[in-house]
Amino acid sequence: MVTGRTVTVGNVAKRQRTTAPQSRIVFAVPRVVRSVAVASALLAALPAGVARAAAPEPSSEDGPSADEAPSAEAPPSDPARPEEETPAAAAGQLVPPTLTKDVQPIYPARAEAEGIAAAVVVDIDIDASGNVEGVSVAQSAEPTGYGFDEAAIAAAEQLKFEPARVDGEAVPVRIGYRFGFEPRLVEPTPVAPPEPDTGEPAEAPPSGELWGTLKERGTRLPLVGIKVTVFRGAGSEAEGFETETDGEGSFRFNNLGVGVWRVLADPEGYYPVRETESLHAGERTSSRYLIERRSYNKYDVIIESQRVHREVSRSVIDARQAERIPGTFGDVLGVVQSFPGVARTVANQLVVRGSAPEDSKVFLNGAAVPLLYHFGNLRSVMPAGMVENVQFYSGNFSVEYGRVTGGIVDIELRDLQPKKVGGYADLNIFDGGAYLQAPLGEDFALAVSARRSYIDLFLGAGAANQRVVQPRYFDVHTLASYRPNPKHHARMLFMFSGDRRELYSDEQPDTPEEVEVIRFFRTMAEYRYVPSDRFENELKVSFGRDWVDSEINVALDETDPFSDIVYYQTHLRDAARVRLGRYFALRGGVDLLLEHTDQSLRMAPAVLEGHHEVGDPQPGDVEVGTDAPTIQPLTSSSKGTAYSSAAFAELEITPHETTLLLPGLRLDHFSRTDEFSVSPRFTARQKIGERWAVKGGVGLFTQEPPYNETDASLGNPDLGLEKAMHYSAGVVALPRPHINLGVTGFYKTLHNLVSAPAATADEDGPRYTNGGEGRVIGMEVSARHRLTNNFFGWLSYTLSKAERRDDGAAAYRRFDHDQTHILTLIGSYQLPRNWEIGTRFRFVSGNLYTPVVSAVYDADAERYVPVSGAPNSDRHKHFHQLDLRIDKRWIYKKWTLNAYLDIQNVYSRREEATQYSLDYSQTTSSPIGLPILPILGVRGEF
Amino acid sequence: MSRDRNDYRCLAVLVCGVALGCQFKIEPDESNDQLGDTLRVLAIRSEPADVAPTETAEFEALVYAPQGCSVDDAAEYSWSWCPLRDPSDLSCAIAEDDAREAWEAQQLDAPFPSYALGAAEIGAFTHALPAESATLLCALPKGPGRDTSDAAFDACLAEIGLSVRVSVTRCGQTAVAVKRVPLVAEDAEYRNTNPNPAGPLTFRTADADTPLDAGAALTAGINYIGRAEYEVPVECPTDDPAAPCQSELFVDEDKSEGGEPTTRSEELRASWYLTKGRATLEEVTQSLGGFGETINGFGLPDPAESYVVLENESEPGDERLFILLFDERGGVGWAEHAFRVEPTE
Repeated sequence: MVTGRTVTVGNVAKRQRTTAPQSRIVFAVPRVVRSVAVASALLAALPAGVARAAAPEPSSEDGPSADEAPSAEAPPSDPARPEEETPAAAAGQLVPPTLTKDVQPIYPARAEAEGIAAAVVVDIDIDASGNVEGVSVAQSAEPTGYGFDEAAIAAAEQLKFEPARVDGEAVPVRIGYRFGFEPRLVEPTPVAPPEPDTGEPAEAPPSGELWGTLKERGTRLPLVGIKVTVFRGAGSEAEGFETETDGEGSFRFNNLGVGVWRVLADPEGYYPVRETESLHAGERTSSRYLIERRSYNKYDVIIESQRVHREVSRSVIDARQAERIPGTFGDVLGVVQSFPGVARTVANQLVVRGSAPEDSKVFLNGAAVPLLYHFGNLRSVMPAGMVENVQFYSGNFSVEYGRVTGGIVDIELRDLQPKKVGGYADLNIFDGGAYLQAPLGEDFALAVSARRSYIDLFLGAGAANQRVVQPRYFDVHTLASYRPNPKHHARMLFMFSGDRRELYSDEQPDTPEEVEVIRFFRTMAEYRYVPSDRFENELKVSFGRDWVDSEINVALDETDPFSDIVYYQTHLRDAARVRLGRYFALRGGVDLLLEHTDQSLRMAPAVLEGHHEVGDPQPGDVEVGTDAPTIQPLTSSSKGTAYSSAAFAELEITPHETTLLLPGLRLDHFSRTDEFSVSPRFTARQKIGERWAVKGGVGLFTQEPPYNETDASLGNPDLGLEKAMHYSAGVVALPRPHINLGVTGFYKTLHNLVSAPAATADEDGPRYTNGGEGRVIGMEVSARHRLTNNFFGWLSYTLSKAERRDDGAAAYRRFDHDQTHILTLIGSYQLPRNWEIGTRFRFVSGNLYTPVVSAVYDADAERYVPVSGAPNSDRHKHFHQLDLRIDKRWIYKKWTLNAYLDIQNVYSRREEATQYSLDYSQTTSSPIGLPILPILGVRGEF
Repeated sequence: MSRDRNDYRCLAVLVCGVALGCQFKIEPDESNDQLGDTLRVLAIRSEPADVAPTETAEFEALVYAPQGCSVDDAAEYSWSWCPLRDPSDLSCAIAEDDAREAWEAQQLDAPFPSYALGAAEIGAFTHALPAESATLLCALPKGPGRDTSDAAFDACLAEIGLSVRVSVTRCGQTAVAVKRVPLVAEDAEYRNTNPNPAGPLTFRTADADTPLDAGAALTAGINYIGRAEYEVPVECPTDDPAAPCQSELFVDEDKSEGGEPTTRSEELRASWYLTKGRATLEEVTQSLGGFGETINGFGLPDPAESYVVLENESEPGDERLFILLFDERGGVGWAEHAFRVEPTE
């Protein structure tokens, strides 16, 4: 990580003994103070040909992909540069560039004349030779109009550096560089020569001491290495001293002359401190200065994983950014739906590049969890304080991941490095919670959290003749981190989450008509060992248990449907990486999963994709004019233990600095289906020039069908693996340092899909077979404007066509969640005084549904029985929605208060559902989904 | 249900359901008992109610033609049937070719009967199916997801029947309806008969329950109680007024060992259909009504009667009321009453 550096201008008149070097200065010229910003966040956005800074927390996964969708703090990496491997923070530590040629910016004349002070932060792209490649203003001067920005750019373009290095190799980087403009305070005055030593002790003038601390207002974090200046007088009487704060943010001035002194501190990114202190002879004056940051936007402090990635289709979203995206209520997965290749579904299911929701998985630090968010995607089961980022793989992912044929979302735990005891309390319409973290010595850190919903209190007041839903959820977490040195890092997480939903009605006020409960706990341990830059190993072990219960109390007897499922999971993954010379590196490991399921249920048979009839839940939520016929439930009582074992290896080949080749192989064995699979995968990236790169990938992916589909009572125990072939190719461009463009084409073939055979099949045949097929073709376009000039935004667009062919069917049909067009626009602008406003606009093709083409009247049951047309042969109107979010942060001395208003569906656009007349002869479109919905939340942090 | 209320109830469902799979359905605005401008087949009656070998059953449809449909525009009928192995299956999933092929494979003596049953107002079916046909039909391929157990096969044999289908076209509209008709053994002891709701219909004012003269015109805007009596033998417990009444229709053939025949009962279901006006939801017996049932807290104390409150707020004019009676074994009967609604004075 690049460290802060302050360049001091002025002559040292005399030194005094202070806790930090204390220098006397003479205000001779307008001062232009420059400093290299702590630029981890800035380094995240690497321009063409740049490498990344070392990760503060080496994780098991790679950094963000260059080609993926926009993410403010996890922008795509250099598309043109082959992804160099950085094995660990210790091994891949980036040595920051050092200034070799300093150039003073010209102080704007008018500003100087008017005594205007300002600061400009610029982003400087430094190439591998140390030359300045590009300069852009990251933070403009205030006030504007004096030419500070221009002066800073002109000076920055002339700077020369010793290039940054990673593992000894010069790499291009981007740094933040601050130019501080401070007007002359007094006329230049020569420093008075010291009195000649007469050999007689001089009478010391009366003096006092000024001790103080600088801390950040609101967070009380110490400000380290900040220059503090005291001065007084004018003309020949002018005198001043300066020092720097120590690790505690403290500074001391000893033997200052009595009287009034002016204290000046102007840390970058903060409002300057200009205070006046009176010193008395023989006394110590102690002061604490709480300095307010110019912006408390969390984007400012986002630190991105800097490790160079090896994935072609990966995006990383920082949780702190994701929770501020409009319209998501702080739901990180809601943000995932804004990425290219991800369909928008009614229930916020994860549909990636035309794969079914069950074909994509969500992991928490590599361990599968039954649900990551309470009640769909409403609120995360993880507190924001413990989530570092969300890693998203849309396809062609590494051999390290398996048992999935669609996409992957992996939640990375926060790297606990608290500098003080801190935390937050959060209140919103849904729930309330608290988070607390604390350092325990130098090596340990601990965080705990708890949250409980209270939305059931609001929903309990239903009107007459209505059903009342009472959802409740809670979660508790403990996260511990031990990091004695960069070679060793261990973490442990325990979490327990519970969701319970009850549905009451007037007819049955005492017994809930429906009850659904999902509870689970996970215990995870992780140990990372990085002895050198040539070897690293990461071990992850998790154990957990899920309880999934549901019951429907209608008949109030044994015929009512229910499910009682207990699931145990033990997961072990160990991955190591060895560097084999200059051109090769090998990453390999094992991945073991042990599962035990004990279930008893009586429920309606599952409806497979593409087999929805009118009356069944459909992607388009088609509504019908009469009740659907009663479906005979299936019963099952079974226990099963299954294991999946896998070994994987991936070779990283960099024959040239512009080329990266990643051949890999994964071997899986699945005990439930008793099958082996060999999954070869290959991805490649080629840099073309400084601002272009092409990429591509092909690979085989396999997975077992869900447990119930292989259950003897519910499905077919003879089912085999489902398979998918992923093909993708794309181009990435960086037309401007802060703008990233990407276009990716993809094609996916699906084989051995679980399918229900046609109705004319043999009655003795299985309920399900592996006779289904599928194909998906599409193109993804992304554009990102990273956070510069207070603005960030992204655009993502997907054009795709997803089809399926059922067992025995002659022709392909549209996939349930096929959406031809998916467009998302997100923009956010930071306003002064910690205001921020953001918006999101989405446009998607209408959902598919199976239309009713006719109906027959059942004269015995006195109802119409619909006759369905071809599956998914009709589509609702397109959908679009605008969301808005406003954030405001108030800074108090010891804490901060953040309030947000998240308005979803600003103009109350509703999705459409088809409602049929009683005899299905006529249709009307009726709106479904939420109208405009404002959500207000507050969070206090300390 | 009000759409506005649905909007925010939807939030609750969103909260509860998206992860757990619960669904949200919009209830239809239409009411099954209110007849509108659509041609409808309200019922199909088989006479006899079940069909034994060599018997010929005649099928009649109760057709509602919307007002304005000229009496000169005669209805066109098309009757057909198909094998019905599963009482819940109306789809005639067995194509004629499949059934014919299976039929021929069994080398049954009788020729495969045509599915067509004529185009007259009355359809007719003669039960010429050989005894083996039941076994054949129940053993025909059923497709995936069907119960192929022995118990299901036995149940199929016990309840095998026909799916009688009629297509009625009149005044430019076509209505299609199906009905199950049980096939019974030649020596079946307890044959079913269609219920007969041909009893008197009276109207009474809802507030005072004052009977009106038969055939009296009703005044728009006034609620009336319509009450019909059925010629059905019923039996009500005398010691427990709250207990449901039962209509003893037959005595089960089965006997317990050394015991007396077990008395079985059968519930009837009455339905009302109105051409205009609207029945008050809380009290109408509509398709859920019937003897021995309680609907929305509204009991039917008199098993020989079923009634509905007319919320007669429609335009004055002629109105028709259809009363349908269903038993549990496919028996159907109906009656139609016409009256006139006068404008409010």
